[in-house]
Amino acid sequence: MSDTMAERKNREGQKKYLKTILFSAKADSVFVNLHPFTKFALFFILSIAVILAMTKSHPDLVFSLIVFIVVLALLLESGTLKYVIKSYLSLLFVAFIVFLIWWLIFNQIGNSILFSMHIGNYYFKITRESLYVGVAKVFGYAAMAFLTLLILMTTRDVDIVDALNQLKVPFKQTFFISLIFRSLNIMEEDLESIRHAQFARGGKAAKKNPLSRVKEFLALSIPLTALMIKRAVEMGSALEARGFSKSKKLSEPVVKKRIGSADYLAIIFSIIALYISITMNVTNVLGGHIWTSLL
Amino acid sequence: MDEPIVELKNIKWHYPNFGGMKSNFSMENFNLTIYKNEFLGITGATGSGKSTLCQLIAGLIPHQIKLPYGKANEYFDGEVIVLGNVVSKLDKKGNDYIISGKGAMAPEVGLVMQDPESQFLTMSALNELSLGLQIMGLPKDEIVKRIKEALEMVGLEDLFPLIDKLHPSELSGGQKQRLVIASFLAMRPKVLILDEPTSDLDSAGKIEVIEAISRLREKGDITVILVEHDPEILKKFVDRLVVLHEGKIIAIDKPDNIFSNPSLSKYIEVSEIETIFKNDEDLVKQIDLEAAKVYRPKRRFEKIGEPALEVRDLKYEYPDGSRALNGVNLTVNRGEFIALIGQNGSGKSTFSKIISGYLTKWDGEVKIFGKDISEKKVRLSIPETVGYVFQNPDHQIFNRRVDEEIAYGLKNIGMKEEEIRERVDETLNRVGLSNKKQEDPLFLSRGEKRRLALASVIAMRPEILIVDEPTTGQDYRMSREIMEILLELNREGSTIIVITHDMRLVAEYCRRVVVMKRGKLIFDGTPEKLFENEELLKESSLLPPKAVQLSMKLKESGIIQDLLLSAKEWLDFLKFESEKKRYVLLSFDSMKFYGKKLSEEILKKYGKPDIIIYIERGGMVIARLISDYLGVKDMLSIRASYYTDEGVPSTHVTLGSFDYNLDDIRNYILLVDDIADTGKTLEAVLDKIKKLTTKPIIVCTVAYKPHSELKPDIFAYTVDNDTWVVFEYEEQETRRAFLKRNNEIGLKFMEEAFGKKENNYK
Repeated sequence: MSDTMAERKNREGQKKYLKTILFSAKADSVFVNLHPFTKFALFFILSIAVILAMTKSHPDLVFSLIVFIVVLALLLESGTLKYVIKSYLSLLFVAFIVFLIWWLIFNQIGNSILFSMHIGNYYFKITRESLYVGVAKVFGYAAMAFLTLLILMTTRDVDIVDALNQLKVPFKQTFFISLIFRSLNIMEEDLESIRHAQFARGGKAAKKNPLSRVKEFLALSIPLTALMIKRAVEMGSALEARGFSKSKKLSEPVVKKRIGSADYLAIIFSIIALYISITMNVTNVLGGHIWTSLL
Repeated sequence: MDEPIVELKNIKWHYPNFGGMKSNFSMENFNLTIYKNEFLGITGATGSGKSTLCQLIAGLIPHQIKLPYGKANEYFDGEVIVLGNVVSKLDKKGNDYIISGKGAMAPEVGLVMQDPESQFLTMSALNELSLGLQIMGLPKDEIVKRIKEALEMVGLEDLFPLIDKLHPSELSGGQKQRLVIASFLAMRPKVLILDEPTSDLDSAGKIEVIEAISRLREKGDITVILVEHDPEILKKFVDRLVVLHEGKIIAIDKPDNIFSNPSLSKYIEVSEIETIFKNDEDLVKQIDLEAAKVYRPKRRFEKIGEPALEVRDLKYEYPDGSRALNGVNLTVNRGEFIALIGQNGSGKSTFSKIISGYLTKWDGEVKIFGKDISEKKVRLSIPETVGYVFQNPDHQIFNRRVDEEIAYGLKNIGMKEEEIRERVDETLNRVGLSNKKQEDPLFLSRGEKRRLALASVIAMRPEILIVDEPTTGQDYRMSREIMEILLELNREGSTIIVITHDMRLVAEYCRRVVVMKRGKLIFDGTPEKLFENEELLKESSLLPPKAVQLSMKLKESGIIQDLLLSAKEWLDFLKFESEKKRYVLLSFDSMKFYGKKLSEEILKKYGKPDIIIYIERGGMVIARLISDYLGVKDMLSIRASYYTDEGVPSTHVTLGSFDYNLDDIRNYILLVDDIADTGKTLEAVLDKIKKLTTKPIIVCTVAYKPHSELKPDIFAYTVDNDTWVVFEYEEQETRRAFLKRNNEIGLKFMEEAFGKKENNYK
């Protein structure tokens, strides 16, 4: 996030957005404030539920669609959907359409032909069944992809470290993970400057063969490595100056994220979803042929 | 203050070899004592050992450096004692020399380093502040209390309600550095070491950190060691200043004495102005105000050519929706030397990334030498026309040999091998790195790396050169070296755009300044205009350099017409003044200045007079001004002259009639004239008044010559005996007097002061 953005969002002491692993999210959003354990459980349970729904002999399109819509709604509620749209992540939509096309080309199942053509000796057809399965799979995968994004875009790295602390992972290990996050954050900024420097030295000026392009890419590693070594030394000194090597028993962190009613509700929702996915086919319950004929 | 807190006794320190590279730095027989609650400054050129000294005190050196086992004596000797504890000491164990001592002294000793990025270790402000306290094992309530207290000390108390939600990326450089300082203050250290805490910050960040240091200074119950290059900061805060050079102490003294000592100029930045003026009061006394009136500084003339860069309504939005540029319009012509300034987030970086072709997907129009860079082909060829030198040279070193590093860009733009070799040699020569041709750039000193970074870009002979923060983190000499190279390139026709927070650089080198704020240009003009715009300076958190601040006071008082921007301009000005010593001009404006000054002094020393008697004609103007300031309505005049009608001194004083009743005087009479030259006129008038009254008479003049027989009770300034004071309101008489006596120098002076006029005064 740019400084201007941070300044704007945090003006007058009102912190409306939180910096997360990917972009930022609304500070008062329900999903942002879920406990990381809950988010992990949701991700795990819902993914299983969607996979089960997709892999049924007659894939459960409606179930995948509902999960997909819920995830999109949560992205919207957490203020992160705009980032999906404005950033390259919106290419995911294109990717899923490409995926659908590939599915249709290589999985020509069923007999209810919607479209057919001969390409040389090859007979290509799009059937109602293959289109249905393809769409159901696309929505299933999209639901999982966007669920992953939702978690990355609404979870702060500091929450992960906090969760690890709550799992009683030793301080030095959790701090090491925190340092990795911090280093990645610094590295991201350094890499941006290095790539700019490479461009400014004509790194993209001449037309190059693939080998030169690889060499060009590898050249980035020289300044990046040198910088990371330098920063590691400085970070080591900074740690030592805080008495890190002398730490014995640390006191409790000041803020701990607690599991609340929203967390319980979210878990109950995901368990119900899993139960539904195991025990029934929502599409069939809602009249499967209607959905097939819609396609 | 006499209790030693830090003692370094006979310290020897050599860095071990790294990657086969031997460090030339060495410290031998180094001794230093720092006292309780002292605010000690450390300064010196890059590589002089400032950071090494800090790390020795903090116990990081030698404990954190891997030394060959048993051979510690080859690298370290002596003893470092902090707060009565042995932090580091060379010991012998059997046949092996080892390092003993407590090592890092956290929490009693805190160390804040240059780069806030590398020191900010966690992913939230709260975790950063609580880390040290958790390590100390403090209970939660105590941690919260101390965090609040520390945030107040660094002026960040407003952040407290948000600290658990603030990510490092959401903090400015200044905020990050202050948080790091706060995280140490929360640990309540007895010694706090600040190793160039402001060098990587923009001007707003610098001000924030300086204010935090200022609060520490007021608090008083902490020993602070501050490493800094900036004389202004050091003079403001430190009690004693240590000057280091190649691991040795060159001087320890009060900062005022250090910075006005010309013999130290080869080690540190000794202010040329400081050596002349000890303080502002001296400044006014030493300046010949009349010569100042006519002085115009001579400034560098830039040969401006056709438009090199044309930007129209440039807008840019980041993927997160924040708008970095909001309709920027700017034209830069060939041969200009421009400063681009603004705080973090103002849009400078985005702007420079666009004009260097790196960023795409912006709105508006950008042309470089008439070519629209929105076309991909043009954009990709920009590196041939626009060079970009980065603030941190480590970001732009892509090779493991100096010559290959310079050749890198040339190869990329498709230059032939033979030509590359010639260009590499020529460029290395230009930046003084010919002897380092085959060395690994990663092992060059910081200054050399900076020159290499510049060389690798100028080798491509760009017509426009963008230089990001050329002086940040550099010592004075290193900054000069870089700036002189840029100036030379500019003289050769290159267009230079420097992105900077260094106002001294702006004042000394740039003839045009562009200020950005929130993605817009808010100022485009000369440095003089910028420094005169108080509101804008405040809005942009910009501080004019000392030379400008001093000249601003003179300009506000009407003493000079143009601001003096640098020490060089000051020296030129003073030289000009000394040449004007024989004749000085006293203008209406300076009479106003003196009128006020004299009135203040009169009121302070004697109170309000009952009546003012002035000598015609010379005393009339100043007497009227004084009467206005003092609010004295009763004024009498007396005609008196020591000169003949031809304007030459006479043998006696001619007095006009003066027989007023002065019985009503309760306090005193103020006798006013413009100058006490020989003092004869004043004496004659004084005698005459004394015959009329026994009341006290205070004599006041604007100027006084030491050879005068009468020394006025109050006067504004002294002029040399051989100097002719030319009053602006006596222009015609003075010109006539010079003409009659064929005084060529006097006439030339009149021409310079008032312009050439027809010879009609005969």
